[in-house]
Amino acid sequence: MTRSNDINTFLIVDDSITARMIIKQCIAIAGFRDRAFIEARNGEEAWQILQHVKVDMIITDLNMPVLDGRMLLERIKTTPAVSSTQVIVVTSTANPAQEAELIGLGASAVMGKPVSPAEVYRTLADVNRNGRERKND
Amino acid sequence: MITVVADLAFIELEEQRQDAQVTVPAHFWKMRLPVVHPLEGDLLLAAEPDLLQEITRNIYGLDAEQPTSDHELDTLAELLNTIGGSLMRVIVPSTVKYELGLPVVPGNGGKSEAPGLSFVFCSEERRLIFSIVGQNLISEVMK
Repeated sequence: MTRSNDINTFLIVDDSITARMIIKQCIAIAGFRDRAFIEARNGEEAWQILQHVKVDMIITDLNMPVLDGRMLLERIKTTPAVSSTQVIVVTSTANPAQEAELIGLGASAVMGKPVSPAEVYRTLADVNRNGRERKND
Repeated sequence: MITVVADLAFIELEEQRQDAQVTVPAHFWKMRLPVVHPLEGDLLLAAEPDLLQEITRNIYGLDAEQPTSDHELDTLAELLNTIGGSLMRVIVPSTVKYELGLPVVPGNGGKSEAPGLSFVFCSEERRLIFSIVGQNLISEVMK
């Protein structure tokens, strides 16, 4: 589905260790078991990691302490050094209104909790394909 | 509730009809999730320790190993967050954003009547109690 060299490093951002583990397992089952996974407990931790590590795909929760997912998304998309990084939002508050706003802020996709390996597979494929098409335009 | 627990932990729950006010035993693990917008109230989830341990063990893929209490509490919080989001998706129009707060362990540790509207789910005699607190939240759920 995806070219295997498109995504090498995932950054998973969620204040719940259970949610991070579930998302990581879904990504692994979706065919990315051998990739690097970095975890952060909130947007601020993720932001600090992004200052030092090249990340290909960020998968973030929305509702977190310290710095939430929306603020993290806004920071990323307004900072030229990291603005091209793909961001997928995984949230329990996903609905069409929320999704439209997050896509408007630059999110590549929005998934509602609970996520499944099949949904992660489809979403990563779509995001990867759209990313390649944008590069080719 | 039934779908979320089955999808995440591969445990089949059955809903139990309640004729009287539900009482949450003191030894149950409890978690509270504030509903912030556009409705206000709280969602509460209480779990029998043995059932929460099995849910946590299944989600983390542990065999004989015991999950830590931190993992069990985090699992309860994430379950409530996911169930709360699923409930709000049903009762809030899709054109309106909704907001939930962060899950917290409620202050009172003792045996208490579950406030508001409660639903009890069972797996092999072990119970999960889901309660909705807040008049406008309850009204929307009852519609």
